[in-house]
Amino acid sequence: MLVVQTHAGRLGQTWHAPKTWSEATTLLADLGPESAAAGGATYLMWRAAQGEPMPRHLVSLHRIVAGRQCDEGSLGALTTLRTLERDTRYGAQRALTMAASATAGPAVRTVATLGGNLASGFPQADLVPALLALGADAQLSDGEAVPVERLLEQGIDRRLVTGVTHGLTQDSGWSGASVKLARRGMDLSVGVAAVAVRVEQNEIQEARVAVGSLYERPQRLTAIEAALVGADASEDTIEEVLEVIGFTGRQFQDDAESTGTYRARIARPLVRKALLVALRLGPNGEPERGDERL
Amino acid sequence: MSRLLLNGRAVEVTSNAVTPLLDVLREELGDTSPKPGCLEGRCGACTVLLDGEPVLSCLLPLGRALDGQITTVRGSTGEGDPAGHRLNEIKAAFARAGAVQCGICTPGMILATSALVSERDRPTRAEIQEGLVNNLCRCTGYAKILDAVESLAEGKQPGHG
Amino acid sequence: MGESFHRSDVLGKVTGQVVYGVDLHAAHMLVGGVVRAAVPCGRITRVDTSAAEEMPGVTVLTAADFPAPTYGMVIDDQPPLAGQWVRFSAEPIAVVAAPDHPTLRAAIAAVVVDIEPTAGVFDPEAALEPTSPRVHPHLRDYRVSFPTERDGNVCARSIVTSGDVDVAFAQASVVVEGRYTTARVHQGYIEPRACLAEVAPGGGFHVTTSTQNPFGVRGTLSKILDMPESQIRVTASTVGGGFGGKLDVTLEHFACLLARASGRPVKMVNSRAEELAAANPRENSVVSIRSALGEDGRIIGREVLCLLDAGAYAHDTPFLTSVASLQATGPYRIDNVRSTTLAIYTNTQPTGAYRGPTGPQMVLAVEAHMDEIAGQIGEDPMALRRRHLFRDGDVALNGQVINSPSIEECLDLALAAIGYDDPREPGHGIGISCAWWTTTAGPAAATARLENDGTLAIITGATEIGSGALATGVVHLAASSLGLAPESVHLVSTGDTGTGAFDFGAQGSRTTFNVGNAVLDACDQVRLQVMTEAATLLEADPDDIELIDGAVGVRGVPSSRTSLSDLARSARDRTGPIHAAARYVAPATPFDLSCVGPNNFYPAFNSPSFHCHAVEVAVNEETGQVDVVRYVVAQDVGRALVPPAIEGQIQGGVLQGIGMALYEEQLLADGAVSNTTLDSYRMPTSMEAPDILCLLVECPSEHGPQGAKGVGEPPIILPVAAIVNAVADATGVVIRDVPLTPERVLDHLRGPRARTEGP
Repeated sequence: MLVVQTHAGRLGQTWHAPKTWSEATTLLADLGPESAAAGGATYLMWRAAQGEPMPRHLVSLHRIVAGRQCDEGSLGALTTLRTLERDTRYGAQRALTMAASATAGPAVRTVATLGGNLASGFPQADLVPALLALGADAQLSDGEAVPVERLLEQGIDRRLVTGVTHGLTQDSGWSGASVKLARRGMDLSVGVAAVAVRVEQNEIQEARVAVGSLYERPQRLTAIEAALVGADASEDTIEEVLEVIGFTGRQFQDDAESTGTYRARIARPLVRKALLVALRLGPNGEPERGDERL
Repeated sequence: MSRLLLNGRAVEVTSNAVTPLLDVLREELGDTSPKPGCLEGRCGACTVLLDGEPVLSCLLPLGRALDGQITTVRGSTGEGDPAGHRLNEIKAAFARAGAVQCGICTPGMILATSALVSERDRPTRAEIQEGLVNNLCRCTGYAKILDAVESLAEGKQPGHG
Repeated sequence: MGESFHRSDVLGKVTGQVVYGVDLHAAHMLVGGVVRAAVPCGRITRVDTSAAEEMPGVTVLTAADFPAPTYGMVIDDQPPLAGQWVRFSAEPIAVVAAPDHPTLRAAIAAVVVDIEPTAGVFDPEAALEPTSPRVHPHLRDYRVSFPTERDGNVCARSIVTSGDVDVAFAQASVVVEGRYTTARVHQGYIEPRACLAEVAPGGGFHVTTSTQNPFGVRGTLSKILDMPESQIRVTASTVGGGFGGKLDVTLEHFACLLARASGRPVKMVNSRAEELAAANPRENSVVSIRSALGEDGRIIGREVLCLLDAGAYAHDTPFLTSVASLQATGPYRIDNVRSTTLAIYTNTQPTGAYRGPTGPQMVLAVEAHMDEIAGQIGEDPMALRRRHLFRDGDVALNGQVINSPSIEECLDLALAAIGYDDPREPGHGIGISCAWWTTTAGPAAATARLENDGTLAIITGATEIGSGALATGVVHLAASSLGLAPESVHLVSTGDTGTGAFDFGAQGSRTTFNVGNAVLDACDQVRLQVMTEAATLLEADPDDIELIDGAVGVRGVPSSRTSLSDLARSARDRTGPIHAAARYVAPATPFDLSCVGPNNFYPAFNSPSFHCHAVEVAVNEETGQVDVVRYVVAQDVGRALVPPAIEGQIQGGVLQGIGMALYEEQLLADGAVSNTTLDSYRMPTSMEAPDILCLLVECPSEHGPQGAKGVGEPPIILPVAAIVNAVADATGVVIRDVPLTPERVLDHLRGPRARTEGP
């Protein structure tokens, strides 16, 4: 049916806005499978606008103040992308800042949250590669800390992500970057590449390279990472590594933004740019306009 | 029955709290200034301000709006303008610069502009383009809208080239 | 440049107070919606509305409820609701009114429709095959209101010929050919189609609707509802964009009959998905073009075959075939021409007019072909153009005489501004396109009225759709005619069949020209009345009266100065309120009947304008992305009445053209449009907007108001060709199919069609 009329609010759904994580988890447990948690609720509301059914109970997390606390290496799940894009422009966490600034547009970033980007199952979550590059853990509502990689593979049942943590602090010598390719300014991505590298005396000591939207789920490119360790921190070397290792052995994704064939073609320039930006900026440089996009 | 802070005044609303704010504004409260261009958050014609930041009201549940202050382009900013939204100034700049043709995108553009210039004093043209990326316009090619926003920086006259 | 200017509707728009179609409201109104076919082609075997009708407050109508079985702008081929046959996916089968949206949605879902699918055809070239399914097997039996050649799936054919094209090709030293295709693109107005219909006391209808053409809508409603036009009033709301997509009935016929059947006002608004699946987008096209060259490299013959995909119903595409045919030579002197355009049925949504209809497609073919000719014979593409550009006194392919064309001046300006002769940066290319276009005629009328406060009121049946043609252009003309400030001229009623006289609609770049002339005439009459009254009042000779700055006075006698408001009151009681009406029809442009044939709807370009666009692009050969770096427009506007308003039209039209060139296309899957969201149908955002340098050339029209020509359409017509040429310049590869998506660019960069470099 082509008539798009939202279900939201028209079928007697109930709105809940708990003030603590504990209240939220209790509520979700009590309400059971007919309930869903939401950070900014944008994705749920968008699906309702497409005519998709909406849960009877919408548990909005926006009142949970603890969810917005941020310290170095620790970010609350309810931090909005608006806050993130104004965050640190240095070090490894720069990757997250760049990813946030390139996501959607300002009106979406006002309400979209870090936790929502990670946990809602939204297909092209632009922050996740940066979290992978940071080697971040997701902090869950029952106290468990789960590496983001594992969360992506296994899910978290009905637990909530309350925050993310990582160890690549400002003074640790890491440099991060995230680069996105989309068709238009605010489109979902064709591809996202996020990297974090540590360089000493012009040699790459450690490297993390993660991509999103290219494959079925965001993931680290471990073969490329391994080949970068010990390599010169130079453009030619990066190029050689990418050429030699390549992107074979995985199924590129077809979706509304792009064919897999096209994704296969742009994977290399995307990852290349992310690496070159990270190397160019080093731990202390600030990104320039245009660095965050291919 | 809930209380919504709209354009500086408290108003009673009875709509279900999951209802998109756009529908509440237009149908329950009679403020038709935000527009239903696509109803799926992709055109920006429904943009309003939530605590001074831009949001797509077609995707914002009423419940979320009840916890903040909502501003539409019908908001009176008069003297004093405590919310600091510069709406009257922006409206005048848009009119002077020729940034309004059919006008359907204009309310959303004005509010997105308000949020942008409250964050950045003198945004570059590229920053303005990014700041307005959620707001589609089909009539103007954006050029005179960008001119209008540039003119808001101190002392600059609208017009380009 | 960049001076501010007056626009009479801007205050209501920036304060969010104006009422668009989507904002309309009436007490006790119902909301209406459409039950649509889920398959693109088939026989309807059952429509069961009983479950829906049982829902409280619900009214349902089907095909049998409509008085006229079919209607159409040229061919009566379109049923208001499909009764027996479905011919395109999303075709309306029933309409529903309900008290609220959830009930409406449930009622629509409750209508049962069974369709036996039959084989359809979805491509215009396939539709020409003799074995193709016929979209309208009984096409020849249909009533037509304008003669049109019908055969198989062809619903119209236009041919323009001059000289002897077969001899030219027989004598040619070189023949160059090309085939260019474009996709279907949507007008993309941000306000969807929307209307509110009420039964008028007395039994007729009053429809308020987001429309460009209230009189056109009224005429079609009269036909569909089988009622005299005088019983139907159509009022345009403020319009949130039209661009040709709101020129005829959209939802009004549904809303009217639902209002009558339910006894309540009915409001209907298209969803965005319905807009993209079931409106009237620009037709996709295939243009085959070939040129015969003489030994000296002159183009001595030109043959073009343009195929326009009309979709399932002809709508206005038969008219558009003649517009396409006129463009076969471009703004160039070519003596032997055969230009054929076919409108072809397919089982897809009916296509229709979109700003500069058929222009982007034909200019793409002509201008990319010009560059290809140059490449093949080793001539500089600008030198090739200059050799052939129209000169004063040339005769075009339709026999019309070209008077003082400004095309070379436009070319010179554009080339200089873009730096055509400068070396290119790596990965960059520059492309040029040239064209000429029309200022559509069509009747116009206006009334001018001097108000008690000395301001001027204008009433016209013409419609302001956002371009500013009325709110700025006509206001400016009236103000300057009577020595008033623009702020003193008010458009008190526009776009309303109840108050204004017939207007042909906001289309074809015609409004400022035609309505402007009517307004100037009315203002001249008003001036005469003012002078006559002033002479009486001031006891002077009319020749000694002057009208300046909102007052009259005897020349040289400052004490005689009398405000227009005092004069208005004086006249009112003495001779009656000062007002005057005028009507205007543009003189026909002479052409050669033997060139265009007797059934050619659009045989000539009136008050033609000339254009050159130049664009610099950067092509990323790894990703296929094409960036528009700089854009230059040189446009002959006749007379630049209000330059910032013209720039606004240029900037908007160019970006729509860039959208068509790089981002926009409707995709089909199983005969249905598959990209029905604004996510997937990608219109340019602010981040894709380049800076556009607008160079206005003034080559006055003999007939235009103060010499002005139409300006609204050409800006969208030239960008596609310019960008294709620029990408070819950057990469050496001519890509003849638009849009130039990154994938398509990459595919071609690896493919065989690099442009031949000549000696």
